[in-house]
Amino acid sequence: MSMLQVKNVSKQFGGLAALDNVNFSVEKEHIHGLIGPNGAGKSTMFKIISGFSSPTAGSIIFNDSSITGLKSSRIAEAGIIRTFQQTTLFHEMTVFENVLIGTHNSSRTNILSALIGSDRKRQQSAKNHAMEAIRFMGLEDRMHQIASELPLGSKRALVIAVALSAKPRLLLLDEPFAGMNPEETNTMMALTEKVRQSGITIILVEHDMKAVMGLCDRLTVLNFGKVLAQGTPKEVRNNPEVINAYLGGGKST
Amino acid sequence: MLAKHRTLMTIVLILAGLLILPHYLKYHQQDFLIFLVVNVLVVASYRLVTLTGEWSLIHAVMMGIGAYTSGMLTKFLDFSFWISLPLAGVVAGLTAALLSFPLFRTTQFYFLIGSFAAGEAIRLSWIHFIRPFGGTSGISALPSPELLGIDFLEPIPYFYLTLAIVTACLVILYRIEKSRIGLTLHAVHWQAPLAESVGINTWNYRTLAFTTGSMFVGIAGALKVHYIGTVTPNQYGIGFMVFILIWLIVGGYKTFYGAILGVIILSILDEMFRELEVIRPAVYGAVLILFILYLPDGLESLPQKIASRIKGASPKGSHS
Repeated sequence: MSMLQVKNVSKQFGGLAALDNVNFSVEKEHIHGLIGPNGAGKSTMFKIISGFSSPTAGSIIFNDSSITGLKSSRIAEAGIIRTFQQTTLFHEMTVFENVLIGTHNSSRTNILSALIGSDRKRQQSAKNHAMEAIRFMGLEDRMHQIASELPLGSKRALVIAVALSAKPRLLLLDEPFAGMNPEETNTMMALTEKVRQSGITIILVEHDMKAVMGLCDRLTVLNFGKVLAQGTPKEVRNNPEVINAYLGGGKST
Repeated sequence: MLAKHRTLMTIVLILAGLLILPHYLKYHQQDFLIFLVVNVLVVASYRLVTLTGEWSLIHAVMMGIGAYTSGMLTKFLDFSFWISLPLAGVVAGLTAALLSFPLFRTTQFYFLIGSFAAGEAIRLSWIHFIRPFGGTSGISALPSPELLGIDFLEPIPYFYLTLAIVTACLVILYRIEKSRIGLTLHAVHWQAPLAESVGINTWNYRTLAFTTGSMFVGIAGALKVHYIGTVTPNQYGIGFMVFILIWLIVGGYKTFYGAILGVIILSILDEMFRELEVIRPAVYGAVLILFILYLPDGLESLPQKIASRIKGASPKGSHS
């Protein structure tokens, strides 16, 4: 049974179909790539899976139950955590505080227990958990730095650390490699692989083909809101339709 | 640890000073002190509302709701002040919770305007429905609190009462802000989508801040009104709301003490210009403009600024 199934999902914006009857499924502990040219509907698909937008038609099944149209915070509780393009962080807070906020689901409290301190154990375990995520992403040396002062590579690592501290079962990464130099890309690829090794399933939206081909087990190629091709990176790379649409007909290796 | 001790010592000293202060003041100055302490609670509770980044224009009316609740309960239904005081908070809080449903369908500017409209609707209904609200002249001859044979009619006992209640409320507000909840409110403010993505229900937290803040200002309203003895709709209009905003902006909204500093300094300034009745608003306006121009981060940023000035013009973007 697949972990996530996207069934006949369509999204209309007025007369424009951003997504048109999209079907694909993601296997447990896979890194599943979602690729396609700009405007293909990747971001819309992401928003729909994570509850930031609801589909016009179709359904999203996560671990056998439908999450279609749920609020984003509910979907996060269910274990689907998304990241955002660029570096969406709590920029004015420290690395530690950023990650601590990520632990919301396991550490939420109410005013009364916060006032009398009866949630202390919970808060302590949240802090420990945040520390784990920071160490996992190799950020322990920067723990008390303000997020906006970090170099790009560390910012992106922090983005993932925040997501990890929310205990995802399925992690949606939105262009984590954008704007990175080759060295940063390599580090990030290793980290992404490490996240998967820890048992987390990943959906990756990315334009960086080196990262996509190197990391993904399966790919879904979108074009004009439709699924153009699916398969392993190798299959997709050799698919003439993909070469035509996505790579603009040029010869590619 | 040392810094913590020092803060605690400062607070104890301020409280001790406040305990003896009223005995050295004239009658009208004692009045002033009571209103000042009440206004500290008003602005500190407003700070809680603004922590999620949603500035409302209904805080003054929420204070009025507390004032009317307590006034009417004690006058018409013979409630004891000690019961009507918390109920004033509860009613203001409940009103805020109910208003959250329509108001937090929007955020930012639209919330600001929506909250103003809702507040005016409430305030105008106090004017319009003479029974039971008493119209423009409101309700007067409200009873003063009594406890164990002590009548809190006189300024000095009433000041102690106010000081005790406001201090307790401030401790609670401070603890909320420093708790996990405070951190979450900051998260909702600075990056709502990211907060949502890790499971924070932003609507819930905006409502929580709005409701809790309104509850405390409701208590402030009850405190004020039982001292004056009269509650009228005009005490809680947009004019007073503007004062709350100015206190917060001039004091600064990055720290808990900024707003409190703002209300204290500006109120003292205002009191000093009491003689110049006509130009008082102009002085207030000038102070606000000067602050926005020369101290945009508020009074709270002053110690840091002075420190860096003394160290010798260190550049703005210096790293630690």
